[in-house]
Amino acid sequence: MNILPEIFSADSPQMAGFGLNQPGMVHELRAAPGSIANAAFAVAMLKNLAGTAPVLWVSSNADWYPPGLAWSGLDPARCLFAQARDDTHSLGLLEQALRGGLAGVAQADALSRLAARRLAFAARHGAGVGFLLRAAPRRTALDSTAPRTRWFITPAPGARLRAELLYAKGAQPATFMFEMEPDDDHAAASVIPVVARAG
Amino acid sequence: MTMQRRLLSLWWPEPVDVEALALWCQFVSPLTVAQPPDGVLIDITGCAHLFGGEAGLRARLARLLPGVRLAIANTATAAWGLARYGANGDDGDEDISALPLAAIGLEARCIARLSRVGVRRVGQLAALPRAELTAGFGPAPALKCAQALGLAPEVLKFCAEPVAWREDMHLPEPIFAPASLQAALSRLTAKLCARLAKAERGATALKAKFYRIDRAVPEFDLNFASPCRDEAQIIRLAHESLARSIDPGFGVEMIRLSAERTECLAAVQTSITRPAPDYQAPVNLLLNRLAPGTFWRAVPHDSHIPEYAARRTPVCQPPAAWTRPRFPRPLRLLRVPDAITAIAPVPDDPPVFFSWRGQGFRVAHATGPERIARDWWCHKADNTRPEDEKIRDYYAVEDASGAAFWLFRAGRHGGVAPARWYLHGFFK
Repeated sequence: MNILPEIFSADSPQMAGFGLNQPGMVHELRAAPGSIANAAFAVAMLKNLAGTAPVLWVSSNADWYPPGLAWSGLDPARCLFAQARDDTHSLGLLEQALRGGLAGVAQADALSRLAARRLAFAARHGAGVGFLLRAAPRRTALDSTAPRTRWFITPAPGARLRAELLYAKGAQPATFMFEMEPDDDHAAASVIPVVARAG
Repeated sequence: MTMQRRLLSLWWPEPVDVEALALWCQFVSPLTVAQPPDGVLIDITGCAHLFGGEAGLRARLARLLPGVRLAIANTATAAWGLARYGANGDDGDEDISALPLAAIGLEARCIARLSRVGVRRVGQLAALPRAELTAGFGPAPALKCAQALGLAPEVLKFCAEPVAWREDMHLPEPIFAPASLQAALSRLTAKLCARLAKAERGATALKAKFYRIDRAVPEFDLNFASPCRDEAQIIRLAHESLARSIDPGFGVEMIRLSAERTECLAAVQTSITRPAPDYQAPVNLLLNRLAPGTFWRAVPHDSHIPEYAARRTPVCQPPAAWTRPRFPRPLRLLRVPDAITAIAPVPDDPPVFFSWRGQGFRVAHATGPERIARDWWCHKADNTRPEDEKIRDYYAVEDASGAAFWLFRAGRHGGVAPARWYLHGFFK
């Protein structure tokens, strides 16, 4: 099967359709336990984000590496880092940040429907952009439709990520290949073709 | 008739913090002058009777400030000279005519020129005609002499107490209801913010103290990432801290809100253009919600060692500029490198297979090595570690599924012992 490499820019209709480059949205990025492919995906999205909003990184084990963020194209001078006591605390801090209009990335494996709803409301209220990193399987008992999109990210060979769209309002579940551009000249992360459609 | 001034000069034989002492001495009189490096002058005109006369004041200061020499005179210059060059006995002798010329603050060169013509005492200098003295030796000797004798005006720079950014509320009846406490705090905040706005300053640290009737004083601190005098923001943070950390007990009689640190904050024009988005409020909120040290900004540090390449600073510091690293750096760095078992061709190839936490990874691609050595010029030699350990060869490797890791081999390959491999970070 031969697929033409159709490259979308960061502000293509698809991206806007998923709300990945728009304020006021929360996105849930899942990954297998131990994988940080979802964090790489969040960085690729955040560096395309317009505006100068600071980016808050919250987790209970704070080992995000600022030079690594710089290597991936996200300026660490824009970033603030917070160490939370546990997942609930992380979510609370992310909610405060989103309500104030900051961009936020929180690592929280446990997410209740109520917490997801609160985050979505805070982001809409304060025009913040939130990325929730979870080590969770593709389907759980407490899946919420409050986040704008839900993805399962796995690493792919080369500078690519395999992103499975699990849920997005008004879109079909599908699998995408994202190419991460480490160069500042090509700061836009491009969506490479739909490899396989599922569902 | 001019008013007779009385000035007290204090002199310490060794240098002291005269600015602080000048402020401390304001308990005697509001007019004090710091005379660096070792003196303080106090204008005690009309104040001495509060301390039992001048003798009482002398005794009191001598008791409070051991090692100080003090003198009282009608002029600042005379008091300065008497404290330094007068007789040590506190006899109240105010005659300066027997003092050497240095006692009126003349330069060494001028003193040398005057002593060449036989003038060695202040009395001798005062006896000379002023016009001829000025013609021969410049204006300084005549002026200083006239100032010491009270014939010419002296310029004194009195030091001012720093402004107290403090608002107190004394309550006629003790209060303990949360709503009353909140209302009192709001009123104090409004007063303080109005004063700060007038002075074009903003607070970066606030402290609220609640004086309870049972003599306990609970307090809370508020910190700000940047100078702030926004009333609504401060009130919100204060109410939050009040509910969290203040127990009013049986009642609070006095509330004190003070700005511990203030910085300049100019007023901004807000009505003409659309304001730029302001992210101070959420950052301040997070700063006060989080425990100290758990909210930080990363600044680059000039070190090749990955662990030291970034440092944490408080968010109130301005952000520092980052440059993109020249070689790949992982998104997540383990604080302590994790030992792994790796199969790698010798002497310096990347591994073809490694196992970490019981899981095997077959390496598909690798880049490297990037050799990083200990910075021996700024770290002490540690004899407990072999010298070879101080070199690390880093490889960015990717396994068949695409997961990317940052590995390193510790030390050079000696050919005897197997190389030790560590996992240090994750790219994706």
